[in-house]
Amino acid sequence: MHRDLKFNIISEGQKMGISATCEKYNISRTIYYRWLSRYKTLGIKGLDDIEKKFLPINKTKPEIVSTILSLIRNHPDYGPRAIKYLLEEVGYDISESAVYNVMKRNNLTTKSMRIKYSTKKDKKITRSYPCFDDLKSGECWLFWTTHYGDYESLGTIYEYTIFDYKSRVACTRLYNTLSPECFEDLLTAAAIPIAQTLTFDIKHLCFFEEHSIKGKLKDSFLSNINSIFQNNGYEVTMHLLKEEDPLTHLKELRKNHTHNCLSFLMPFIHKDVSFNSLKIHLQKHVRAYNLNHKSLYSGELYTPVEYHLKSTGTDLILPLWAYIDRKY
Amino acid sequence: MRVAIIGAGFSGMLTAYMIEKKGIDVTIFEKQEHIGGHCRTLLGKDSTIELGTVFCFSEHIKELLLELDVAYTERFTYRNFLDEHYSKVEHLSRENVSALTDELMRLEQILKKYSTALNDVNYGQIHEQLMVPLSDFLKDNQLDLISGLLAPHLSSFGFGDICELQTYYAFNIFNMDTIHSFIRGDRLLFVNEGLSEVINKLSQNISDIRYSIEVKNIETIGNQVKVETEYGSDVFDKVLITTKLPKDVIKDDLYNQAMKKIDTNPYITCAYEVENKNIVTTYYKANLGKKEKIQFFHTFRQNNKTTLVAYAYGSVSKELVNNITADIEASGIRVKHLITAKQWYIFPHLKEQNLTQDFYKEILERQQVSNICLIGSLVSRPAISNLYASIKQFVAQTF
Repeated sequence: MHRDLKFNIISEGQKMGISATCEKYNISRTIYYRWLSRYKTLGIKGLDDIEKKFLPINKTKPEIVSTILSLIRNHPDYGPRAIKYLLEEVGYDISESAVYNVMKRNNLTTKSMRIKYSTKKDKKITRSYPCFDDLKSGECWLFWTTHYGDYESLGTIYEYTIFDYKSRVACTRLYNTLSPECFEDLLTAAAIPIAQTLTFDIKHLCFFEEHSIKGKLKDSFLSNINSIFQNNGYEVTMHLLKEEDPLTHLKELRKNHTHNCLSFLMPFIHKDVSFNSLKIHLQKHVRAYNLNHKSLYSGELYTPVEYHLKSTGTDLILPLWAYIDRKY
Repeated sequence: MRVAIIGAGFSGMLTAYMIEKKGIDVTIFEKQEHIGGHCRTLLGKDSTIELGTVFCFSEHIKELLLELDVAYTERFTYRNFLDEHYSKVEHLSRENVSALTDELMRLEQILKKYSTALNDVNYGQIHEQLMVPLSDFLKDNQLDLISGLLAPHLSSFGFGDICELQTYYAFNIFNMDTIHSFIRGDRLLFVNEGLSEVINKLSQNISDIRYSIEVKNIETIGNQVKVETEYGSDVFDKVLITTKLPKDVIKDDLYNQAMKKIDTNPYITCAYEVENKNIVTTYYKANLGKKEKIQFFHTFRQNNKTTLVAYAYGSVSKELVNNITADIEASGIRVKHLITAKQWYIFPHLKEQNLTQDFYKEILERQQVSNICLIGSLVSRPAISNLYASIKQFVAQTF
């Protein structure tokens, strides 16, 4: 409430009677006397809103706030209690009133405000696809997972790949589950280091529509990925590709790469090697693919890394780990 | 029982915390007006800058962080290397990688001979062959590539020039596991709110911390130890020393001689805010180990703000700080402004002429019978995770 209005209420109370004035403005007598005493000691300035200079120790953690906001975006019709139950499901145990306070701080206390908020577009996440013709090497990554099957000794195997659209440089790892953590591992342990090494200027990351690792927490997963990119100095737009988009050429790239990996791995899978050594075999294979496997780029033969270096005028400087086996 | 601890760095604070948890009265004396020693985090809106220790190896320390409810992140550190012309180069050239693999295998075999001594949490009896400078050891064993491999990491621990650093210290911290872990570029552990947060949490559980009180005299009287400060004196059952004290403070020949021999390396850190977004930890290969030359910088990117902390051996001076700034700018970094330049004295160790094979063994033996003990980085390799293991072992055995 503005200080002038508070002042008017105080003066009116002095003339018209305190109880009647409080009733008229729907405030308590306690509040009235608190304002009055602040006015008496500090003058008109005493009626300004008091700004707290400290952070309360039980302030809701930023990661919970961002989860709440993403849940609101997905379920704008839910109130604080329903959101609290959803939070419990993802492992955050906070009170309904804490959820309400987050809503209040973000002006989301009414359903209509929340609906408006949920339809507002996040610039970093889009359903459109980038203009593939204008992309340069290292600017656009594709991400997919492929189910390789269930094996008695190895369990379920998924291929996770982050693939540079233009240069066809690939980062591929194998995992036993479909989860955001595995994607994050691939991104931070392999893809971003490669991007740093080859000075990729990543601008786009495209997810195929059928993608299942995002699950319930789609938005918080994407915002986590976004902050990983930002903390590494990249501004990346994430594209959620739809089945009907004209993606034949992307699907072709994906098919070739997966076929290449799978046909390499099959003999090992049938030889009953351990999952760890299978992972290392694939690591070597993908390294050899990136550095030595020549294919056609607009009529000329290059390896993926060669093509990137040539098209961006970068020198090849590899870190030590690029030459050795890295367990994961 | 009453215990006094001299120095409120990580080791001192941790020891006090662990002892007080056992119900023992403990007093910490800190010479400076603030606690934390090399755990020093600068805070600001949207930024947390580690000015001292930056990361921990994950092995033991998580246990403590969970106990203190301190949030941490394990993340990858990406590294670049620059040559004398500020051009990006490889850590070791491609042609040498297979030779390096071979050297690593040989090194592993060689170090096996000393493994018991090198894997202990504390320093101990030193094998004669490890008394020589690292550069000689590597040359004698034809391990030329290993020095190039280790040089950047030795610098980040403030170990100095490999022509001066004894082999014992080098392989105490860089055992084969650590070397392989650095090559693989494994995740390192960072405390989200900065390492000062760990110190704050410890301090909340310590009843008696004395600030800006320098200890002038430590003397055994009967079964007890008298600790004198500028303002008075007090008697304790045990005194634990975590930091190098000036000569003649400890009235005990062995410890006093030890204090005279222990040296540190002067090291400075300069923190900057910079404009670049996408930069990674960068080592200046041509400078590694050299005095008054930038060794490397770390960067932190938080909330659209990039801060950079650069390191050099030497003492803070206008000239040195300006040279560091110039080197950073020459590598393509756009510096907005200097945040601070800070002097450190790190890595307590003995120089070649002072180190004897049984130096640490004598101290450790003395601790068994004396009420005065040296702990922390005076007797153990200076990495947070290892200090934790060392202190935990000491407290379990002593109290």
